Amino acid sequence: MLSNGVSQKCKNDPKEYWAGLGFLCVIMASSEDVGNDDDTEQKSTQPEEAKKSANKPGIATTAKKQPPPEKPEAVWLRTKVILSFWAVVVFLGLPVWWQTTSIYRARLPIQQMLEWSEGTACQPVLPLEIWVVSPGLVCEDARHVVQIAQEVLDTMNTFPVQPIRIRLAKSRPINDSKGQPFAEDPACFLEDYDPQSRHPALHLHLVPGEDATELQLSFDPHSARADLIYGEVSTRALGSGAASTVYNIFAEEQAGLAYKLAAQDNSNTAARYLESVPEDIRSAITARENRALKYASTYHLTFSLFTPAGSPSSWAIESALETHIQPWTSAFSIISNFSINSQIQPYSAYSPSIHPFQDSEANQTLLRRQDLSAFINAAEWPLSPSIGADGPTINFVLYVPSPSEIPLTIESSDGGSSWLIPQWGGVTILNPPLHTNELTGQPSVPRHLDLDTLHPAFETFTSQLLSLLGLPTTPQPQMTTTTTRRPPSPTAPSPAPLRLATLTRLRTLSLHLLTRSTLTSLAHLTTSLPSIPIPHRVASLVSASLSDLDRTCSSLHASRWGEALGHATRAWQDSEKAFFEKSMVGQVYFPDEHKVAVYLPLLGPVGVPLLLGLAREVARYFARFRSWRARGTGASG
Amino acid sequence: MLLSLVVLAVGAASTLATHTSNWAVLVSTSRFWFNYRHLSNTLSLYRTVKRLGIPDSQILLLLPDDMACNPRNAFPGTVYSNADRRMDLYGENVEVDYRGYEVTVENFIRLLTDRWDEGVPAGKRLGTDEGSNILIYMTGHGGSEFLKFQDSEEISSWDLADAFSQMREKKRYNEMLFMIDTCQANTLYRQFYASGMIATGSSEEDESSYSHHADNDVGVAVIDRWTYYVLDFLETQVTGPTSEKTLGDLFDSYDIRKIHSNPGVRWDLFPGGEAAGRSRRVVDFFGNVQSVEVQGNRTKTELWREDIAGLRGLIAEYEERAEHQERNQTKTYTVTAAVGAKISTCENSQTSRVKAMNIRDEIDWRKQVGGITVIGGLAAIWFLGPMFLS
Repeated sequence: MLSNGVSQKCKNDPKEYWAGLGFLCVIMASSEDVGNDDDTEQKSTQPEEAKKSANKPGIATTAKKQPPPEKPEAVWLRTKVILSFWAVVVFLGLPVWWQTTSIYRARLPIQQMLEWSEGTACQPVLPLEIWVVSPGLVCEDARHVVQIAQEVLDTMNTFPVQPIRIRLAKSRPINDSKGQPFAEDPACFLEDYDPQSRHPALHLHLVPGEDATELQLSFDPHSARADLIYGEVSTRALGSGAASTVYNIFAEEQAGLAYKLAAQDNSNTAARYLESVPEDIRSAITARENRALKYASTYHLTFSLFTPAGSPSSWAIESALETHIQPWTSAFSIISNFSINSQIQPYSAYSPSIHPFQDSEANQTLLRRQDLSAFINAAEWPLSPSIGADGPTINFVLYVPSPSEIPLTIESSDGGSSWLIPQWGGVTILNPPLHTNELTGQPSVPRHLDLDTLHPAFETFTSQLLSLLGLPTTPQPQMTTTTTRRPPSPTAPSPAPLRLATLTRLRTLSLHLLTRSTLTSLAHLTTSLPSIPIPHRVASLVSASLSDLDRTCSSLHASRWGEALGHATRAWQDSEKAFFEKSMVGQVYFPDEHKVAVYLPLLGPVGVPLLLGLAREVARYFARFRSWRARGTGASG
Repeated sequence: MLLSLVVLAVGAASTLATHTSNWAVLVSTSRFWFNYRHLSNTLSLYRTVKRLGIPDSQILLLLPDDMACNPRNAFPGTVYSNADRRMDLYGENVEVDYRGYEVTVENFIRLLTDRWDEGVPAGKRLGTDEGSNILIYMTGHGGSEFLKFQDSEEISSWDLADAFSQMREKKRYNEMLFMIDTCQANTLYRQFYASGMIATGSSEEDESSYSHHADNDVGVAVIDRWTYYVLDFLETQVTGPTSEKTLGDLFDSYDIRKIHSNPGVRWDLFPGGEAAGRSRRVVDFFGNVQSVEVQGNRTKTELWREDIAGLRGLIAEYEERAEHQERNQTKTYTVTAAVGAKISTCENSQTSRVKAMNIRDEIDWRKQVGGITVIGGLAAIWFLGPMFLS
């Protein structure tokens, strides 16, 4: 009898009992009757047992030897053992299990996050402020013109997101075309503005012209200013002319805003407005949006020179960048920052899958159009090395072919040699003038590319950069384009400051909508995936993002564009960080049967004796309590 | 009324559904020489999508082992998917993004959901957006609703489903084609619920996927049946990036007698269902969208040049004026100062966040101390208990 042996050993040697076999003992002790302490007791109880079994006929012959009754201290010891095991389980085991298996989920302001998508929170409105300066008009007339212009504009402008307000403003002294300052009526004191409160989107100057027969529009190239030159016209005609001028200037921007609202926010009103926009403008906007990179606060521009041979090995990159690229990057600095680097990679041919073919008639080599997307040798050209850098890289690749392939152009493109890869960068093939190598007598590529050779390529790069940044490039719909400052040009875009301001507003709205959708996604995610952990950091990022969203919205309402872009950028960055928090990769999913498979081997052998021991102990106490009560009632009765 | 709603919805969808880029995630999940075929499956797919025009920068290749350099390989440096050994899949130009022990369930989920440490290079990330079509191909050893990764862990259908739904939620794909070649493959896409997906697998529940043939010189099976016939279709029917073959054609080409298992397709998550899904071109997923815009028609270049020359002048003047304005308007400085203050508060909050992380470290430390105390206490009770009792 093993169990008896063990029990005996336990009783005989308490130290060993505690040190080695404690657990086994408690199992045995709880499942087996403790007893057989010493022989004398056994002997003393034997006759009683015999008597008891003798009372039952039939079993008497096979009667088992019964254990002696337990000593009270043995019973008490067993109770203590069981209780101490349960104490460890309840006070240590369960909390540790709970702590180590529970998933920390910080509380997120789900309701607030969803409010933005449900539209109950602030809706972005981008009111434009137009300041009209009319030095040539008397006060009454000027007010009348502005009033009419506003009325006409209100009927034209059906886009609720961008209301346009025309105000009469006090002008700074301006010069006419001959450099003479216009006389201004100081008595006509117009509404007083705090220049910090609202940024005017446009200064419209109503300039009287002597020889002008109708309304003429001219832009000031270096500020958000347009001159409307008028001849002998009525104030009504002037007012409605001013209104349609303003409307035409901002029509494309409105279409762009509507496009963003329709695409990012599923706004039905915006979609309906977009339907009313002429088809060519709409497709131009779609193309522009597909071409442009996603907004980033920093872009890295990489200019790379690749050539299959050893020359050219230098280029006038610094002066080329200074002339062509840097004016734009500094103008863009109100929206994004730029870092520029350049590299020369000789002995780098294009991708081996490209096979240009010879056109013997025109004596040139042609690239197939379908090959252009695979031209970049992604495996071997060290491009986009922005490891860990914050922000995307825009690549500009200048490829100088080997002398045998010069001139290398694209088939059926009328000598075109450059292409734009949307959201990635631009490629230009430069065919430099060849000269004869003195040693070999073979035609060869110059070793150094000077600025004059680079001009056309960098002009292309500039235009590619502008399209990749999403700058509106479609020509301004103009009513009459007799410009006084610049020679007329058929595709004259509106001046850069106006376009940059438009881009600022478009970017702000886009970021705002993006943030809203990210926060909504995060809210959906948290509710739909109960097993995903949410660290505290996410909660703080979300609340920062929410408050910046609010600020963006109020800045937009107040027409403070730069400030709005700042808030929108921060809100967007915080929301992205919150969504892509790296510790939010949920625990791998465990189906219930897996859980059972994990817990059963543990709970089976350990849990059963524990539970049984406890149950027996409780049952025994109940029995004792009952017998005590029975004895108590017996005594009283 | 209902009709107009439908029209509106279609209109909204048409403005949204623009497919601008293609990405491929090709995953083999098994190590060891006898799983040669899983790596050659994946490399074959890699060759195919490259041939059809997806650039390497948009292919994520996950190979847990390097068969080309395995000492048992009789043809070092090469991997073949056919006993005729005509085409070396490894070649000179293969870009493996995740190799060896980097191929884990966690990394795969991180890859899909883009939850990485800062500093993980762009080449290892899935840089997709709402205009991207994604092809996901997985192969390895699997079972009912799971796929084994590297003998040590497994990914379940639920894990994949949750990852895809997170991608959908964040608009990280336009359409997705999920392909899987493993035993009981069709069970792996059973739990998916994100819309915009087409899923196809090689075998039904309780059914094995079989290898196609072995190369006696290599010594192991070199390709799986289902993958073999999919590739067969892609190589013989989809000859170039302009192919008009549709997914319907691809799925109709499945021949159970050849594949020896029952391949499955799941359409119900795709908007438009089976009809729309079947009409998608194969190259919408296996090829690259032709998005290059050729510029530089000569006359246009002239115009551009003129234009840019003008604009450059404008910018110079603009800058000058901006400088001038800055000098004049002191108020702008107050604005920038306010912005600066805000930035600095942000920085403060960030530093406090960093501190919070430190606190977490302290908690860990405290936990350790706590743990040692508890264990020590228990040990003490263990040894001292008998003294009290005796």
